[in-house]
Amino acid sequence: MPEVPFSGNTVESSLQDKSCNIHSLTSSSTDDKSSILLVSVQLHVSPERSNLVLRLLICQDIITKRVIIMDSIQSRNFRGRLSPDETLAAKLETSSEKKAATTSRVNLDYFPSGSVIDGLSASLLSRCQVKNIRCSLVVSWPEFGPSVIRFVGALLKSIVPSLDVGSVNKDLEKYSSRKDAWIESDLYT
Amino acid sequence: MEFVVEEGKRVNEECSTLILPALSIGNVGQLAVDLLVSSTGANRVGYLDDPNLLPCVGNDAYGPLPCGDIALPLEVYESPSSATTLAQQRSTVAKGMMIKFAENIADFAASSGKKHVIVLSSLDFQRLHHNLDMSRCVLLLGNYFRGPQVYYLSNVEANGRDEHCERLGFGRLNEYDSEGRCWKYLSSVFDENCKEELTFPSEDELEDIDYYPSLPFAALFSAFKARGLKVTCLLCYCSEGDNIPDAFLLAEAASKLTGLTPDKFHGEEGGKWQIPYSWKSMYGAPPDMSIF
Repeated sequence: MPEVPFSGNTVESSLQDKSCNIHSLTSSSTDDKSSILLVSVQLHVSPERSNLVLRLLICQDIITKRVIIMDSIQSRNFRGRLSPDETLAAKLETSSEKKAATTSRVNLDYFPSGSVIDGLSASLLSRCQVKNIRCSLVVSWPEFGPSVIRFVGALLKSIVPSLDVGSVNKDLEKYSSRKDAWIESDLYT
Repeated sequence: MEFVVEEGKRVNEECSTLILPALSIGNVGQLAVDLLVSSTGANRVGYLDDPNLLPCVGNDAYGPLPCGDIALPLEVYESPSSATTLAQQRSTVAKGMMIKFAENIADFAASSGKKHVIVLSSLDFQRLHHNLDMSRCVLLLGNYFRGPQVYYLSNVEANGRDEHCERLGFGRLNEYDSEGRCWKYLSSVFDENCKEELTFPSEDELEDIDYYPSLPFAALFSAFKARGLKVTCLLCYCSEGDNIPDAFLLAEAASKLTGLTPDKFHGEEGGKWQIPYSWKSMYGAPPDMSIF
């Protein structure tokens, strides 16, 4: 996207890069031919650009059977009360995900009616609904901080048991701090 | 724009009337459609997937309890008992793409056999005050008005008039001028045979008379008209704030226009308006009482 400067990005992927990285986790079992792609979107995608990015992710070269999206609750679109001290999480699912066996689905309450989610994650979930792809969107609160990192790590571990989240938690907690958010500014490389 | 029928559902070809909102001040059109969907017990039959709409998702808006059925930016509902299709738009059109969006939705309406389209929208109350003339006689004493509360614009007659709307007591939108530069521009954009190349005035060149044709309802009106469909825009003046009464006003007007009567609704206590579940949190969470 021309509006996203790549200056300051590293050759090896880094959490500090403004980039969208796709990592592949292939099962070591010879019976299981499926693979898991982890997509890390480390830059702001404007709502106007969401359609473009989503087509690159799931509508063209990548054929998916199931999608799990993780995002933060956007306080501007949330009609309830959000406390900075309280970790919250909720989900939205496509119809095909709802029909799947309960044990295979994310175990969370539904996102409350009246509040909305916009942006890239909404675009992805909508597309999956239209294309009848199993998809869950998990949104959590607060946006930053150790508590939400631990929650997300636990969720990832429940979905991909082979992931070793324990060894990276400390690094993630270091990057997930609101006081460092100014470093993300486009003014600095 | 792709129309995707929801799994297990089918489209009822008897539903020849389409009601949809045009985004406007106070989101009144959308609130009115919410009320109509909820009260008529209309069922969702599919989605309209359009790249010109900004993305948004949420939980089921209607209830009685939200069950996790996701709500998408543009959804199609049907109420077979009233032969009506309702399209609910939940997000805005991307900047600069309104013409394309209007064209797409007009294509959908025409290809799905709709005969009459009703667009619900609202107008800035300050414009009514600005255009005050003796024939409208508006008195701002405790919000008392002498004059119609609902205005309309129709393509039945060239000047925007429709005898049926007149009999229902709606006021014709006098500001409609098919020869006005912006209205002419909209007509030319949707007319495949138009050779004239007109341009829409830039933001700096816009005058008061250009307010109405610059609104989304005007693009939709012109698009449906160009496709040969009968189109009626129902409009009410309002301000930003508690727009629920305005939504009721427009929803009632749409019901009158389509011949719907409240006893055909599926509201509580039989035959009344049913408030959508999502409206319960319209103004956010209640105040934190622990501060007192």
